Amino acid sequence: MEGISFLVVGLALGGRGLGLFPDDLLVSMRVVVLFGLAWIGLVFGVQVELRIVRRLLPWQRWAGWLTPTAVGLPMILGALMAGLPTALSLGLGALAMAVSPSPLEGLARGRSIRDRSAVRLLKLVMAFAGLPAVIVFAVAAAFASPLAAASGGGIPASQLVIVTAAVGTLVGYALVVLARGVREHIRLLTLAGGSMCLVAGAAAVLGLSALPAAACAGAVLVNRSVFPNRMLRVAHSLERPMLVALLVLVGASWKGASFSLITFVLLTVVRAIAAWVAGEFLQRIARSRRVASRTPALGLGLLPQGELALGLLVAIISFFPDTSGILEAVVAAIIVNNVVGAWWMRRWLAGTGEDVSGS
Amino acid sequence: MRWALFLVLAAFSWTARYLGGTVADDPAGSALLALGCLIIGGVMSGELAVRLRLPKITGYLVFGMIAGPHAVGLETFRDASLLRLFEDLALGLIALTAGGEFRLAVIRRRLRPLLAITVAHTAGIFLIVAGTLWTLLTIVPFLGPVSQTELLAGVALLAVIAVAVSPATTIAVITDLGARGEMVETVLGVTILKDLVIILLFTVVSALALSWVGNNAVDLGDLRHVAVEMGVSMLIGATLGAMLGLYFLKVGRLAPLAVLLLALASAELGRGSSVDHLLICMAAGFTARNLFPHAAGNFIGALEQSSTPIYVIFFALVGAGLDLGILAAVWLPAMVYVGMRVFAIQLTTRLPAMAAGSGWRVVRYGWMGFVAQAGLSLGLAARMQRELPGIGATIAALVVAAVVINQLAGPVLWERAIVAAGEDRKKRAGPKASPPS
Repeated sequence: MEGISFLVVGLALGGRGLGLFPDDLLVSMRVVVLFGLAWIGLVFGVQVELRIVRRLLPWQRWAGWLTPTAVGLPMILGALMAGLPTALSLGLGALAMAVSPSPLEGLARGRSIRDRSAVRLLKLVMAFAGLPAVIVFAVAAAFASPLAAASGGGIPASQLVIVTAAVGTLVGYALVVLARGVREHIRLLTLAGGSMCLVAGAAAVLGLSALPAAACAGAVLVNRSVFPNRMLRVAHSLERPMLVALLVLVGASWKGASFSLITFVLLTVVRAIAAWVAGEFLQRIARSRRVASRTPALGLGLLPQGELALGLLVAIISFFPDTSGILEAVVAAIIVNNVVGAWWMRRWLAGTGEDVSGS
Repeated sequence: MRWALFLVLAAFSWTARYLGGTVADDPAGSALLALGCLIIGGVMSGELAVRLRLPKITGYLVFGMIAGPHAVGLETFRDASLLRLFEDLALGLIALTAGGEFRLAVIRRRLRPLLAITVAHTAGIFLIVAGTLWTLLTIVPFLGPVSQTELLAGVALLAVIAVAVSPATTIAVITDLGARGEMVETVLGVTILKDLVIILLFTVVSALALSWVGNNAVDLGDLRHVAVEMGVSMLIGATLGAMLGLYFLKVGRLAPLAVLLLALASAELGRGSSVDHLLICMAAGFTARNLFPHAAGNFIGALEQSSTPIYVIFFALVGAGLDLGILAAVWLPAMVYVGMRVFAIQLTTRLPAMAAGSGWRVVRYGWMGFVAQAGLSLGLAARMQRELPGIGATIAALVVAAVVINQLAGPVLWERAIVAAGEDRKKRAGPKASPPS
């Protein structure tokens, strides 16, 4: 929810408010937006630690993958049926998959939450959710690329996804080698900054999205680096300032458009139904593996959205064509999802007996 | 191995730009590719420079020169215009640090030498360089066939530019070495004061030069205008600095963003009106540090600790803007001009320092901190070229060539001076590493 306040600050400072961001400044600020998106991608990528994924049981990996996919898939189908372009439908699907663990963590901080089956299942899905979200977003960005849309038969989206991954992988490996033997945090940060400039720049000139490419670079970095924790610290040290800067800039460049009701309904009603179904599906898998969990409407705990969703929103607005009215609808949907999700989570935690702060 | 990898990245950047040019020609993307190459290459050049016992910023500068639009072209002229924002932001942060270093206690403690050296530099360097140049040019007329009045105007302008110094380079070397001490405080103080004086002096001299060349009456209306602009800049800076200090004290969250916002606002003000970006940020740093010594002081200290990316970006971009071709064309007169200037700096630092009772460090090594020249001198040269058609272009070329030499030699001399004076704390303490994880 705090992220939305930065959007509002941008709105107040920008063309619709105090007018402190003139158009020519916003043009040169595009460099900052591209870099910021690459950095958000890097932050996401460095969280994909294969040694942790390998430690999970096979059913946990499947459940972790499939549950967020089940949340996003109806959203994509609904958007396509509503006549939205393929790229935007996939982008909204990716956005729907981005689940935030922040409300759960917030509840856990102030109360005595027993980390039992229902909470564990939710945490598992939340840890995985970003991965399918970014993969779907990479496909969406490939569809939205001017290369795919070039007249006379563009490049197939599958090839553009491969190019996106290749750009990130190359720069990620380069950063692994460049960072070898470097111990100072600030020098590592500088090298990572230079590398993200390369990823963002290459993606932009090639008509690709920087976020998934940088996520690939981050994944390579954390899995191939000698000291992965140092790289995690480096990535997280700029995460917040970058996200805030991006949100303020998006708010400042908002020109005003008609509210996209379809997007709002899809991201609230359809997403809530999909999350409910996905929760039931998750519990079924868990029970088949003899993990006891029977929490009614567990899936509604997947409603809250946070940083990744906002990052994807910025990426969609800055890269996809035909996004008028999306910003307001998505922001409104995120607010609704967070309010409902947090309320529901508090209720069922008390109902299942996993919240024992009162006892 | 690392340099080979950098070449692969540079080739990747070039290929991406080449392939992308046909479909999605994105200027912001191209600028980011250039910036990425400048940052990574700059960091590696800085490391190489340290191995060669040179200051890191010399490495950044040289790499910028090689990669810039005047040489290899990893950064093009179009990229440079888009990256101006980053250069301005970095300059703002450097100026903020410089202002933050300028504490009231230091001013009170070193007031006499500060004033003595500033006055001696302003008058002494101007007169020595002007006198020597005048004599030399009447014997060897390397400015071409010019009238006496044009010659007088040219000499006066070259002499006034010789007074200018680069505060960014001074503070960068100080930060890099973690330097503290009498000499460092004196040199930094004089540099900041000279930065204020030079703008006024240039305005007076250029007004005189214009009147001599055009045979008009002297119009000193500009002087009042410039003085007002400087006053307004310092006032804006002081207000922003007080706001920043209050923010640190009361809120404290997202402090880096608050500082970046201040630098951005200042750069935008500087671009949109005639107030001075550098002065605003210096005044802001000074006010924040002196009004809120704990809250803002801690942050400015932390800013110094994390200055590597700022310096890499700034000096690599400054280096990219320097034209080696001009140096090749006028290297001999430029060397003579540089030699004269260095002699004048030496004389006008040692004598007043001795007279004001400064320690031996300032007397013996202080002059080495005033050699570097960068943005301000280049800006004045560009203004001269605009305002004095004909002779202005020749003088501007000479100044650009001299700036290349001074900017390469200045940081080296300044670092040597700090080390020789024993005021380099970071090097003596050894490098600080993050804990192993």
